[in-house]
Amino acid sequence: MRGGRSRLLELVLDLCVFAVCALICVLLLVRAGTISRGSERLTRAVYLAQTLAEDWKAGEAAPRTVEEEELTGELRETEGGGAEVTVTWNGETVYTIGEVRRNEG
Amino acid sequence: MRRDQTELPSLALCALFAVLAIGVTLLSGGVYRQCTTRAEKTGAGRTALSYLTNQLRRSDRAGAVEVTSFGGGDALRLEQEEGYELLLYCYDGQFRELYAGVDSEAVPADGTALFPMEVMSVRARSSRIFLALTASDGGTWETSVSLRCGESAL
Repeated sequence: MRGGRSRLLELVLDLCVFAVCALICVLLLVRAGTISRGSERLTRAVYLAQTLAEDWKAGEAAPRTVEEEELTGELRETEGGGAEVTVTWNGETVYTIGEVRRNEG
Repeated sequence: MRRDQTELPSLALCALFAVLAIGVTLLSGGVYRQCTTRAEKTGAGRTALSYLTNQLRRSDRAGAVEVTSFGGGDALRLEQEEGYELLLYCYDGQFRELYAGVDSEAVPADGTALFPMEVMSVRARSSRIFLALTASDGGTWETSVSLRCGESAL
């Protein structure tokens, strides 16, 4: 009887250890999913920022705001005659191009 | 023979352990598949747009870029060294490049398949080239390139 109880206790402890490991695994998986989504968002943000910058370099007016899927790209001219592009997602800055210059000649 | 009173709880715990193990394994597999699929999609779009942008940049000179049709869709014709041109287009589910003589009678299937891509849409306005690529899963990747030599490139 005593041997049975100790075996049960051991199983409960094993299960607790497993549950902790499983929880850590799940948290890692959630983190991996978040990073993966963030990576895709960053790639799209880079191309959105590049498009806004290229359009401005070709003579498009500023300031300009463009919505693409969940991203918002905003281009505004700076005092130095250049432009700055910021891409945000839910109000959080995803990507920025600090200084864009128009094509010369 | 009298059964051990702890046998049933032990079995229940083992079953719970097995269910949790299977659940974690399935969840891991699902997340791993999602991550790899997303990485492949993102990688394909990024590679395609980078390749196109770089090809446009290296051909950015007067009269060297032309938006045309080839293989049943939009295509970019980029002038190379004298007498040769590079055609970039989508055909048969693949993004292809075809390096050929200007007067060659090459057909779309002659091009080298670079990566899977269903449709390439190209528009030229002023000195800008708008590029849109559509993958087989319907995902689209867009960018715009401002040619440094202006409209004279087109």
